[in-house]
Amino acid sequence: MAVSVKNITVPRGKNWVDNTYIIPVIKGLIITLRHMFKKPIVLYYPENKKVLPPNYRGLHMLTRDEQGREKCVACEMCSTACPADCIRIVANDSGDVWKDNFENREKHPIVFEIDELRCIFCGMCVEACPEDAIDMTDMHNLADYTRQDFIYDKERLLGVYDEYIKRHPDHAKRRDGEFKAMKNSSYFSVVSVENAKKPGGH
Amino acid sequence: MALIKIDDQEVEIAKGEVVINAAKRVGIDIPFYCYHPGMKIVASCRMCLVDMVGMPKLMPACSTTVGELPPGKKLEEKYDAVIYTDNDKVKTARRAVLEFLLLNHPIDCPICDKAGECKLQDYSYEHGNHESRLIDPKRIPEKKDLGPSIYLYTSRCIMCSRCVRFTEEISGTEELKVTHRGWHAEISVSPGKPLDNKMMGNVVDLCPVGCLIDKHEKFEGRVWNFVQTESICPGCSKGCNTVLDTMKHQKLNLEELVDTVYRIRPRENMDVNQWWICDDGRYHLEGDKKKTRILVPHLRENGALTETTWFSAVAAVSEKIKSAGAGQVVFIGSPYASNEENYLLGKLAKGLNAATDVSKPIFGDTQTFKTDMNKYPFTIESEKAPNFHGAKNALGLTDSKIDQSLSKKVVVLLGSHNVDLKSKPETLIVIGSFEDAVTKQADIILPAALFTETSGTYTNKDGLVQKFNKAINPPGDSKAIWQIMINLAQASGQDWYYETVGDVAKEMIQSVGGFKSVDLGTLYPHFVLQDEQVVA
Ligand code: SF4
Ligand code: SF4
Ligand code: SF4
Ligand code: SF4
Ligand code: FES
Repeated sequence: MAVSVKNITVPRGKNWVDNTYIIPVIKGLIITLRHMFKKPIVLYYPENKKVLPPNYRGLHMLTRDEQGREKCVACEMCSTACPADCIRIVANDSGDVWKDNFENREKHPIVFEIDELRCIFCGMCVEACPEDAIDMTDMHNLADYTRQDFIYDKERLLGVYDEYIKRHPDHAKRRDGEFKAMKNSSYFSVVSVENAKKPGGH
Repeated sequence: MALIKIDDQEVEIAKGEVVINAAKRVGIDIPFYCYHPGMKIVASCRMCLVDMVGMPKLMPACSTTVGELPPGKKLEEKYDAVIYTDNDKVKTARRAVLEFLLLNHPIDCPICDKAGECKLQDYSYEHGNHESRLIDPKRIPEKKDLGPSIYLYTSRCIMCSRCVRFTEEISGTEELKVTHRGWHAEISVSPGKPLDNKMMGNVVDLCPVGCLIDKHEKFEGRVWNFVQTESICPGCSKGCNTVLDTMKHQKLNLEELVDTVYRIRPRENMDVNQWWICDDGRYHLEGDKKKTRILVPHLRENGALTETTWFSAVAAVSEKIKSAGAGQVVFIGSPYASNEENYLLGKLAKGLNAATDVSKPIFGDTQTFKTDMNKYPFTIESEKAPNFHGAKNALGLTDSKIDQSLSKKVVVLLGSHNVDLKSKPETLIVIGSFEDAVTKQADIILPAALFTETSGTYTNKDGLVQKFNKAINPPGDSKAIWQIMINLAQASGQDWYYETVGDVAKEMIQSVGGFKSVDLGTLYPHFVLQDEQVVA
């Protein structure tokens, strides 16, 4: 096989300074140095936590009405809409549970389970719910020891709401879409843990 | 015969036939609520309004008939009527009617069991306004308890009066009536006279909205999760056509809820039950819930019934039969089992040279619902078994001689309904589903599937052979009776096998005289199709 030879000319600088590449290196360093005086964009997780947008799709919760009862009426819209088939609902008459059984609380779920491992966090269930009974929180760091523990039952999902509402008492407003009026709300303030290191220093 | 034009289609309409029917024949669905082919026409809901050329106002399609015009006066030179079902005038009218119907409606679809099969939902979606212009508060009356099995969600009612007409015309019991007027009109029962008759379940199916709700089925499941299986009611020898609603298999999160029948509803068959079934049939499975199901084969060891495997139970049966000698064995068929199952029992007995017999059905009351307005009186038969006719036929018997048969040494009983054991035979083998006095005395019990758990045919009192289909899987280790028969035959050295019930039916139709006229193709269309494919 014949070997073809090609002659190339290495581009040379105009003078020796160019040939040492010192100027491009200094230029690069300036960019790097500039960042030392900027606000860092990384967080010291988990001491410091990122502020998540209000429509973040994390762990589900089952919301409560003014009287502390679950809003859900077991209509199964969410489980029908769910593309991952991970919601399981068994409905029951609520007459025996709530004595002041009025129109829209006649039915309630005795079983409401979401398999958070099968869930793809698409938010379809929230879209489908006619009662604003299911919603998603900013909780995403779920950890547990067994797969079974990721099947959240009704009590646990209501518990998520209780915990969530403590941090975001203005949750109801968020559902009404009043984002603009919420500049000072819990959603936009930095959530930080005590003794967290200040960002910026090493 | 008059010739009419509906939208762009021509259709002939008989004298006295209503337009809504003629339109349906050419595939035009006119929305309707109050119309029902089996009852008097009241034309009160106004949902079916259509535009008829030459008429000053829109006409209700459910009550309008067309007569022939004299030759010179025909419309467009050949039609007796020209009808539009989809022009702007009609669309506006439908929108208006729906707006009226929804004025006071609570729109509580999330908790309404009718959602998914509700005509108010469907038509609102298709023809409705999608918003209400009512500024006054809605009138939302309380729900009422109408009787032992039905609630009236008063606020959901659209006053179509189908339920009222049903109790007047079909059941003839006249419990329901309309009280008050106009905006305040409500369906009610008189004090001290609740809705309580053997046909009342039908008003729930009849109600086009979710106003009448069955207490047995309340909140059991959403209808879009159900699949339907065609079946036959085993309640009496009438053989009403039914539909079984079960949970969809493909819904992963409902897996454990799958093997239950949630509802039994009527299926239209003008020759048998028209549009109705009685409540004995509708709540047939409710009674079963109270009984204890036998889930595994049992064998009597040292005087006590103990659970065992199919293998040893079947082996024990053939052992007992062999040791007793052919003359001392009797196989007793059942009027509660299908033709195919009784046929196989007969075939098994014949192969063993044993005698056959059939147990008697339970007899109860006959009840006939007849009124002046009811074209087809509905009768609940006194013979409370679906297949006495067919069982006798399949076994080649003329009548039951069960009292004599029970004195044989080895008795194989298909089902323990209505069997009165005076003294226990030496060996009693029961193929049954529920624990009762007879199975307690049995030496061997083989657990059998119910009619919802296998397929087969019943012959009703008029000799009509009808097929029921498998809707759910048998619980536990229980098996379809025809499969048990195959197992028993193989254990006793007979060499026959059937892949499906259809194979059994095919052989039965050919070999038993009484089934000669049965058309296998209508009963087992899938089966015949397969056969044709084999030939091709
Ligand atoms: S977020 Fe999506 S996948 Fe998860 S439960 Fe809701 S609908 Fe199902
Ligand atoms: S969470 Fe909402 S959509 Fe799901 S069953 Fe309850 S009310 Fe219906
Ligand atoms: S209860 Fe149902 S069937 Fe009876 S009038 Fe009202 S809507 Fe019609
Ligand atoms: S009349 Fe007989 S067959 Fe018909 S539904 Fe009633 S019990 Fe069943
Ligand atoms: S269906 Fe014709 S008026 Fe009701």
